[in-house]
Amino acid sequence: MSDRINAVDIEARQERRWRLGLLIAFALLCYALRDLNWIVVWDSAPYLLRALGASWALAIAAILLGLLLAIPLAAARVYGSRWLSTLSAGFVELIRSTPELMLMFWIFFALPLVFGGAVSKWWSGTIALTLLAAAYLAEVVRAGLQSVPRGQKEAAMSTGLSASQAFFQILLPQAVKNMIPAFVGQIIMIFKTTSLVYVLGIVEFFRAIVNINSVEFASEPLYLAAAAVYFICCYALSLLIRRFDAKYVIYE
Amino acid sequence: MVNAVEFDNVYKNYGNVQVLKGINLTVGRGEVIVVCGPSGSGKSTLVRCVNALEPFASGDIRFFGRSLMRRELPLPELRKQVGMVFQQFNLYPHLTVRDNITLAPRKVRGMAAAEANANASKLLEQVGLAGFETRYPAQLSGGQRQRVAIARTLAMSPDVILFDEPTSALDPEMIWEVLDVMAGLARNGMTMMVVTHEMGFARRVADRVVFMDEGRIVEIGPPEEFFSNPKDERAKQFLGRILSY
Repeated sequence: MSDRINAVDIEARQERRWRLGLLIAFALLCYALRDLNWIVVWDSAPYLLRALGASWALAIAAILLGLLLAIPLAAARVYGSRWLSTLSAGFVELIRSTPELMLMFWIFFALPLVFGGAVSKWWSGTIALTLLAAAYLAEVVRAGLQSVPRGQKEAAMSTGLSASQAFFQILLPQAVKNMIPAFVGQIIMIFKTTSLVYVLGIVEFFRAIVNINSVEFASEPLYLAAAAVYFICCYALSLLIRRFDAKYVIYE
Repeated sequence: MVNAVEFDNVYKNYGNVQVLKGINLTVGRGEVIVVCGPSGSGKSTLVRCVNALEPFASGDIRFFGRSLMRRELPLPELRKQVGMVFQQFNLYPHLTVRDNITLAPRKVRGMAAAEANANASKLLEQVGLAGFETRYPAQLSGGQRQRVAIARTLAMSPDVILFDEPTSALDPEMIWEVLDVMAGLARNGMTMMVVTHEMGFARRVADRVVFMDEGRIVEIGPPEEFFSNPKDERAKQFLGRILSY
């Protein structure tokens, strides 16, 4: 237990150090670039913020719905019959092995054929991102479930718990603890992937930056602002999720 | 009176490897059976068949007269009535000692939380761990963990308890505290099947000792007879090695 706390300490110190470094670098950069046309960014802030809201909405929907799919997918992969397991693995491999952009087009053009009418770009975007999130998160959940010792399931079953009780009371909570580092990475990736739904005509944050640039021709301040905003959002997500990690230190 | 557990010509294999080759064994109510034998002889598999953690290929096991092969006893029912204590304790690390003990009574038996908690405290006292309710398994020693595991099993008021090498993962000075608890259970009339190398325990607590080798029961009898006058050649060899120090 003390080892673990030590490691956490060192990590925290490291993180404080690089955060400080980054802040200084950012301040220097701002100073060096003080003559850029920052007014453009300021003037378009309302438009950009609305678009950022769209990015967040898409990301949150994709993460929550994706997780909702990822858990049964992973459970099927690890505990399911051979058929269920193969089906789940097939889905994950299919989604992971095709380009994200292609999936978006595919959803956009295929859904109307299935539903017999136009499907809004928002639905198409959300569904495509959800499928992506489901596939990537399923792998994270699977690794988490496989890291739980086999004896845990045996103990749960031997006291008479049903398979689903054992899963939700015993196996999943322990898997979550082991999942968190990998989970952070995938969540960040999903947030960044929301920038691809511009191909469906959705104006999310990155598209909004591009749009403004095509009118104002101020690439330097706009893309610098975009980088800063993406960094802040992703880092905030990472911090948020790692807060759950701290909860688990006690039983390490 | 109907027996607690009856093995009737039980066979089991993992792929091409036969691990149980025609097991016949009767465990009476309140009887304590110690199962020993060299590693790979099928001891663990034998007890794990009783609560169906391992399925068997042919033959039958009857639990209080009801056939497992013919599914006369649904699995959840069977497992409510058979407790199991594992070599690696298998406590739930994310739950407190109290929640470890009360989870199954609440979820499976539908016991009210207050009643389950009171019962857990009583059981903890019984295994010598009064006041440990709010600790986590990681904060306990091996012997303490195994005693919590025993309390967790007792919380379901099982008719039979299976012990699968309950002291093999313990430091030597902690073994006695677990064996003491087990001996107490035996005195109170619990039906027990114990896989163990603790020959002192077998001698003092067991009603009968079963010696297994290569998937067969090759010798069975009361401990005094088994230890003083083993008939089977392999049992003699085994005892010679295990008792020679």
